[in-house]
This record gives sequence, structure tokens and C-alpha cells, in this order.
Amino acid sequence: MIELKDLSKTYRSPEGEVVALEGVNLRVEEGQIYGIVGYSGAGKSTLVRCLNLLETPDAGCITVEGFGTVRISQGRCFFRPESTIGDAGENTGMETRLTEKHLKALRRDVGMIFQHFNLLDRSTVFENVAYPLKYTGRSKAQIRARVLELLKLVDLSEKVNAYPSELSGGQKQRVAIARALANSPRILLSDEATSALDPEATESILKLLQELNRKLHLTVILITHEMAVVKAVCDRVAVMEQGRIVEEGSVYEVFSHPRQPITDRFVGSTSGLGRINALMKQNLDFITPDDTVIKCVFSEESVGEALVSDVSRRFGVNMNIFLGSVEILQGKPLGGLVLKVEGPPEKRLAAIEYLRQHNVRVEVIEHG
Amino acid sequence: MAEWLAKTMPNVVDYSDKFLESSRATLQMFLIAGAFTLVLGAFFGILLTVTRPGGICENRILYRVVDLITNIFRSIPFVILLIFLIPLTRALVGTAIGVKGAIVPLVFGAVPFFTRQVEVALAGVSPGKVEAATAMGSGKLGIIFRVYLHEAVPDLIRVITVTAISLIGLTTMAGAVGAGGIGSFAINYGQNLHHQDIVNVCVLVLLVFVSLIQTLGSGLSRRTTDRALFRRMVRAEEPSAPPESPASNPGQKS
Repeated sequence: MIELKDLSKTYRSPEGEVVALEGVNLRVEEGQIYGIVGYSGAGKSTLVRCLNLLETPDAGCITVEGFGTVRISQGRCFFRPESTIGDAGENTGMETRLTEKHLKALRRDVGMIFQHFNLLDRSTVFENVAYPLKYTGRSKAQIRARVLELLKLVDLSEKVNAYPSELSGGQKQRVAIARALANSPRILLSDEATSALDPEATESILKLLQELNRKLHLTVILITHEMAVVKAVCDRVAVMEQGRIVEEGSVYEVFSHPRQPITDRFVGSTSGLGRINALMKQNLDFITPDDTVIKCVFSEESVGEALVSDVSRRFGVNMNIFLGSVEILQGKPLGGLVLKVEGPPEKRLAAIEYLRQHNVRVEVIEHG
Repeated sequence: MAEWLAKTMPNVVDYSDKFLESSRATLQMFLIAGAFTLVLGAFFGILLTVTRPGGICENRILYRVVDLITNIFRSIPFVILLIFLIPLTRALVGTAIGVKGAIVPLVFGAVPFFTRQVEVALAGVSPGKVEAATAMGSGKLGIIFRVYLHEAVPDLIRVITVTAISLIGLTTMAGAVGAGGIGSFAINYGQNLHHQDIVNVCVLVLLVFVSLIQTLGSGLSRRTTDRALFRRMVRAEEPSAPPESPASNPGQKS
């Protein structure tokens, strides 16, 4: 479990202040794959860097299960080991200044991978993965065994003596993952780890992360600007905008019932239904004053019902399907339709109301 | 051979012991001052890199002080530095002439130059690598040696080459004000006694020396880019495993 409380961070420069984080609260349970999405500049990179204190927040609390709590006040860090936290989470123990030693311990508990891999170019794959193992009291033979084990885990055993320049992007990221896992962390932070990869490599890296999550019970916190990545692997997702988390929930919840406009845009960017917005901009002249264009999202409870023909019969309206899609998210179906409803205005309104009563999220795109 | 030498460069042959002695003095100055420069320049270069704003041991005051001193010494022309430092040189080594007296101004002249060069070389190491090492729990010394210095090797070799060549230039200049060496040999026995062959041979010797350093530096730098000089192989399988080693073709891309 990892928990953030009231985290805030402001960058100050002669040109002015930039608020990167503003009262961020977040809780990630053990074994979850947790996505954090947002446009660039939303503060997600700062947030993930605060988790392992690569960046020091101005204020807030970071609790990592098995490690302890770091409280930051006015940019100064204090540490309280876990055993002294009371049952109710209240602070009962002695608080000390956070030292370099604590930081190292925390960072061994939290692995991290990056968009640009950040491998040492002059070191072989073996040496890269061995980097965090050296000077930790292990013997050469132990290091060798551990590195080979890690490379097997990321399916890269045959590249043990290669240099990064001899690897593809996906392979480099695999090396980075092996390196991040060397000291058996329980949490892995992924900062846009697939953003520099082609679609195929992205898929294989995401699969690997999922596999590691299952095999090692690894908690993964995944920063991305691509909703498709969240959709593919995450259990829960938080949406960030201007340094705040504006929406949070299970991936299915957020995709089926986005509450914020920005979330809607993110969801729309990965669903086929998002294309309707582009289509509507073309001023389609087949929409007459007697038509209403609506977007319907069917979630688990309603996706199986024959609602379209039901509504059509019941209210005497014509339903013309523009676009449709069904996706499986976290093993649950999520369907969507863009419909043109034709008929008298009161019938159209009644039809929409009826759909809403049947757990369909209806969004009116255009009234004719 | 001896006949040909006596014919083409009579004065060099006449003053051959002087010539050899001068060459030895130049080499001595180069090696001793070079060793000091290497150590001190690397030290200050690293210091500037880690203390700079955003560096791993950010310290604005220390950074500004070292930065300022480096700039000051960089802006004094070497010939002026030579005479400016005479009192200090006397105080430090007891004399201001000869090889011994030349070392101090040479070090003062070359260290600021090399410091800047090292700083530039280390700035070429991507901040992402440093961040990754920090995230892995690597300490500051670990980051300096295992990331900065390790990753910057090709650039460091390049700047060492440049500095070495400029140091040779400095030693000949020091020769003009009493340090001895090839520089003073060329002036005193070549220029002042109108022996053009002596000047020519001095140029030739320096040319060969500089070319050697440049060739060695360029070659080493190229061979250490994106790789170590010698690839350390690790067998992927236990020694008991069948001999077909997948590591035998590491250059293959998939």
C-alpha cells in the first residue's frame, strides 16, 4: 500500500511560480496496477517523482507500507518508521529527520522505469542490471545469479552481453525493468515507459508489466498520457489536471461514467465513439430539426439488453445507428452507440429519459 | 645516415645533446604538469558539475566561487600568467626557472582550461541516467564514478587529448621565459643563432608528438563510444550447460 496525503509542490523561478501539485491525495493498494493520466504539464511526472523523493514536495505525507511515513513540511522531510504508526493511523512514534540512509532504503523498495530507458550506454545488459546490486553486500556469484534470473524474467537472457545500442526500444525497456526489479521492490513506478515505443513493443511491455504484477504481486503505478495504456492494463485510474486529481476510480467506472470533461476527452480518445465529435464538425446536412443525435454508453447492467428496438417500438421513434462499439474492460463489457433519434420532440425526450432509467448514460450531442 | 643528417641539419647534430636534453625537459614538464592537471582539473570539473544548480550536491556558493576562479585564470594570457606567478612559484618550489619552476604556472594555466572541458564532457551525460541511478538508491559517489565518469569516458578522452595538446603549447611558451625545453631550444639556438634547421626540427618533433596524441585520443574515444574498451562477457548459462553460447553473437539485433 502506498498513500499520499495533501501533497503539494510549487516550482519557483524568477519568471514566476508554477504549481505542479496541489493537495494531492492518492491511495494505491498492494498488487494494483494504478494508472495516472493527464496531459503534459498536469503534474503527473512530479507526482511520481515525489513518491520516491526524486523531487521533494513542499508539504504532505507519503506512506509506503513496509517502509514508513515521510512527512514533508516546508520542504523539510521527516521520517517515522512503520512500526510506530498506531492502529488508527495516528502517529505515535518518534519522528526523525529523513537521512540519506532512509532515502536509499525507500528507493530500494520502489523501482522506477522511464520513457527514455536511461540505461548506461557503455555498460552491457548484464552490467546495467547488476548496477543496483553492487555495493549491497552481495558476492559476485550472487549478483551473477540474480542478474541472470532477472533477465530470464523479462525474457532477455540471450542479450546478456549486448550493449544498449545493440537493442531495440522494447528490449531496452525490458533491461530497464530488470534493473528496476533487481532489489526486489514491491512497487514499480513507470513514467511514460511506453511513450517512446512502437505499438508492438508497447503491447509487449504492458503485457510484461501485467505478468510481473501477477507473478510477483508487484504494485505498479503507471504514468501515461495515453488512455489506451490505462485501458489495457490498469485496475484503477486517476485523472490529473493542473496539479490536482480531478477524478479517480476503477477503470471500468471511469470509462463508463466519466464525470469530468477532461476525463470524457481522454475516454473519447480511445473509444471508437470519440470519432463522432470529428464527424459532427463536418456539418452533416442529414440532421433535420426532427432529429436528435445522442451518444449512449451501456455499462455492465444494460449492455445485454435489446434497448434500441425496445425504445423504438415503445415510443414510436426511429433509431438510426451512426457508430457503435463494444469493449471488454477488466473483463466486463462496455458498449457504446451514437444514434440519431427521429420523431416528434416529446417522443424523443421520453425515449432519452427511458434509456437513462435503464442505466444507459445518454449524452445529447446535437438537437436538430 | 649520420652523413645525411650532418648535411641536412648540421646545427642539430652539433647541438644534439642540447636537443635531447631539451626534448627530455619538455617531456618532463608535459608529464608532471599533465598529471597535476588531470587530477586537479577532473576534481574541479566534477565539483562544478555536482554543485551546479540542479546538480546532485547543489551548492550555489561553492559553485559560484569555483566558477569565478576558473574564469579569472582562463582569461589571463599564459605569458602574463607566467610572470604573474613568479613570486608564488618561488614560494612553492624555491625557484622560478627550469622544469621545476615551470610546473606551477603550467598547472595554473592548464587546470582552468581542463576544468571547463571536463565540465562540458560531464554535462553530456543525460540527466535521465543520473535520475535513474538516484532512483535505484545509488549514492553520490556512486553516481559520480559509476554514471558521470563512466558514461563520459569517450568525451573525457577527447578533452584530455585537447588539453594535452594545448599543454604542449604552454610548455614551449614557458620555455621562452626560462623553463628550458624545446621552446627555449628553438628560440635560443634556432632563432637567435640563425639556425633554421634547428627550428625546423623542433617543429617536426612537436608535430609528430601532437599527431601521436591526437591519433591515440581519437581512436580511444571512438572505441569507447556506446561500449567499454573491452566487452566483459558473462556466460548466460551455467558452465555445465551445452557449449552453444547465445552470447557468442551479441551484435545481432532482433
